[in-house]
Amino acid sequence: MKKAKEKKEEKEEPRIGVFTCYCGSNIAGVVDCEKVREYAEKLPHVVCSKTNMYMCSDPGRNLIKESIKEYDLNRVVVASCSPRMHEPTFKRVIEEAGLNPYLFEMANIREHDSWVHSKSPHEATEKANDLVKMAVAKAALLEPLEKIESPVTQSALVIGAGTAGITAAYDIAESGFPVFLIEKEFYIGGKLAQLNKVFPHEKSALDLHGELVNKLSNPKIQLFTGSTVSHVTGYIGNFQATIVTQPRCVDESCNLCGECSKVCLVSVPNEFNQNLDTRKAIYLPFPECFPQQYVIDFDNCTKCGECLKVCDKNCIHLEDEPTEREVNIGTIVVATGFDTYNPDPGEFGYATFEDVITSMQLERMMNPNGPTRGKLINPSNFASPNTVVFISCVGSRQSPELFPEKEQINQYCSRTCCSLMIKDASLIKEKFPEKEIFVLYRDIRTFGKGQEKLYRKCRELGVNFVRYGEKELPKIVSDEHGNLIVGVKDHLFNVFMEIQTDLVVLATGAVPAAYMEDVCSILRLSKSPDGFLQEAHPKLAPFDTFSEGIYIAGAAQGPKDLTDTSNQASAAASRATIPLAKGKLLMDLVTAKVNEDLCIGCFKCVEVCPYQAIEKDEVKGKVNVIDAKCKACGICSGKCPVGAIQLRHFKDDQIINMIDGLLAVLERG
Amino acid sequence: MSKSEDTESRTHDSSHDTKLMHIVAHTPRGKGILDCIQCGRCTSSCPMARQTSRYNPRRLMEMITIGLKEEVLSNTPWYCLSCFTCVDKCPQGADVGEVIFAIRNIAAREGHIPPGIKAQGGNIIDTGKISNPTKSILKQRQEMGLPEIEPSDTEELLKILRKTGFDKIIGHK
Repeated sequence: MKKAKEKKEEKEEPRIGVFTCYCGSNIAGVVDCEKVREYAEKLPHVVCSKTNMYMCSDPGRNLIKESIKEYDLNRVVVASCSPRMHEPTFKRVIEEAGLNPYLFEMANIREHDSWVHSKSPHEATEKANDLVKMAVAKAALLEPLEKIESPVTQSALVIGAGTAGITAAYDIAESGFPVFLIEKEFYIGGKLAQLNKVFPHEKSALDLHGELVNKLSNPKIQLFTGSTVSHVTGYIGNFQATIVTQPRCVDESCNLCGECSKVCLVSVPNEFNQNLDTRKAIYLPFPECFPQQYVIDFDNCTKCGECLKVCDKNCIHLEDEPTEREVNIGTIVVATGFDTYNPDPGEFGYATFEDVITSMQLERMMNPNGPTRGKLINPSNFASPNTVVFISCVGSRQSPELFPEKEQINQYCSRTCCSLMIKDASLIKEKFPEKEIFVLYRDIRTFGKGQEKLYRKCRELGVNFVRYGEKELPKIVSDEHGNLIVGVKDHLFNVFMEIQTDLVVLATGAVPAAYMEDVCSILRLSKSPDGFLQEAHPKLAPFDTFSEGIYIAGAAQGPKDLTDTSNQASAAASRATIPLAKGKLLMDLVTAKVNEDLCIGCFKCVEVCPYQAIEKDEVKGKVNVIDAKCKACGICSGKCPVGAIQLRHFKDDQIINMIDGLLAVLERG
Repeated sequence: MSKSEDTESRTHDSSHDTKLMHIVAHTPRGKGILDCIQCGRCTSSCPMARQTSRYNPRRLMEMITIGLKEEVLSNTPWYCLSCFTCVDKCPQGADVGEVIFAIRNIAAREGHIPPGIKAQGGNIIDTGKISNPTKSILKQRQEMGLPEIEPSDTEELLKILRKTGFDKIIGHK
């Protein structure tokens, strides 16, 4: 990393200008700004003190610029709003006037004063005086700082090869940057691969899967299936990641003859088909899977060697070991997706009755390549059901009162289940108009483009919608003949009704993917209370994380349908491409700085740094701060027993001067 | 509007005829039942619902959906004044007023016409009018020197009513 030369300025006498803002009546309505101006004039080093109606407006900014010239100011204090609001504005103003932007200090007399003390104007004015005095005290000791330049490794890592991951990887690759795309399963496509048709246009999910596979043909994308990230170090522009790839044990020469699977003696529930049927220990995940290769599931394989005997391509290698590779990347996109909610045994009769299934199981069943080859059946007797009852909001919008024993309840709306359920109900009713279909719903949230139309179509097909209440969930029992009875209280009419049915489909919601837990700890990302990844800003940066250079795409951030997933994936890809396209990054040098003469090598700072921005220098027995990783939190500086580590722009003497300023006021009072 | 009826929990003994919704949907004018989303704009705009808590079009639609046949075919649908405000107000085009005609037709077919309605039907056959002036009104007219009300010419009307079996439906002798 190249540090720009710090300007060595001769110690000159501080000439401070104080600019007090009226902010219309926001400040001036409580604080007597003219008194503050008069007070500031008498403070040490202050050579000019002025007021303006809006300091951030053009006249206000010009006033600052002109005063800098007229009074030859070398420090500027603005008493106005929160620095979060206008610090960048004023920094730019003084930079335009030829001053170093770090020779600026802000006194917050709006959020910290006029807004909270609107009933006591006299005291508020006193407080404004104190705040200005503290800011002036610090300003006198401010030092100019330069920005640093850091090079960027021009490639990206995308974690997860579902809809979000592939879309993001494709967009980055199309911009011309190499992408490492990793997927923990041995097939790509994520949850999309399991679906039958997607709402609202009832397009085949298989077609969409095919389009994703096409995107992977971009030569800049390097795909690793069966792979996870085990370790990530570095910072924006310079990450190093370790990718661990589990052995597939079947190489590319596999011609999908399937003989190995026929002779395999191990049979286990097929998780891809939602455990509706079984598969062997050597298996093809699903007929259209990509890459088209068999795979061995080592959790269940007994290594009996039967498959080796029948494989005439000799493409099975039972002795393969996991491999590790290190990659250097500039940015990371996290697209780890979601899991479908797994109802507790007994919840809505799930696992108690065989004919209570989840919507994902129904999707697999209705899929032409699924366990029943697209036939709708009752799992208990393989008969075609005459009545189907859908229940919405299973595992979503749960009421805390109803699940007091549960640690984590899902109070959010999963956003996809209503439309998925309505799409399935329409598909069944369209094909079999004689079947009776009930949808027991709490609210119908078909919000997206074309989805309301789907809802209307479903109603007009004659699907019966019955609303239940938040606190009175439908109950599923069986009568003496073994028929399923759904008892539901119609929330709108306050009557209880019983529906005899053959099949119950639970419209299950989305929960954070189990694998995301690892990703969070490896990448040090934070989670929101619902367990999904926390975005940097819910409105303006839903694709950023708090860690610079790491972006979120798709349902890892919260439940999303395919449309929203694609939107966010492209957004995250564009964010991740910006640093790659720039090739180098300019960074604020408001970071910690070590005085090696004072450092005693106790490495306390290394332990406490939450960003791993401090590294040990074993040779010298001292520490180094990696400026690009430092977030200027100041914890190291507080921990250092000898004061060897100081935060630029927030040095001890600057802070102490502020306190001295305040105490001087107290003595006076 | 009776709040109490809305909030009071009632258990219903009569079995739910879940086919009712489909029967209504396939009756002429009844298709709108499938479009109802239970928003309640029909009831809030209904001039009859403002007068009596016994009539609530939103609840009537829901009764059809969940199959409370007995209640649907009782007196309830006959409260409607056919102003069709609900048809104009419905955001989903569920044509509530039309659906009510469909269930009146089903009710009539199954012999569920309230006696008051039958009596009005009888009046039409007898006099060509739904209701006739009371004795006190006739007396007042006489005192004020107004002419006597001439009976309507019902000959053609009677032919139509007989041909369509109206007299049999209302049980007129």
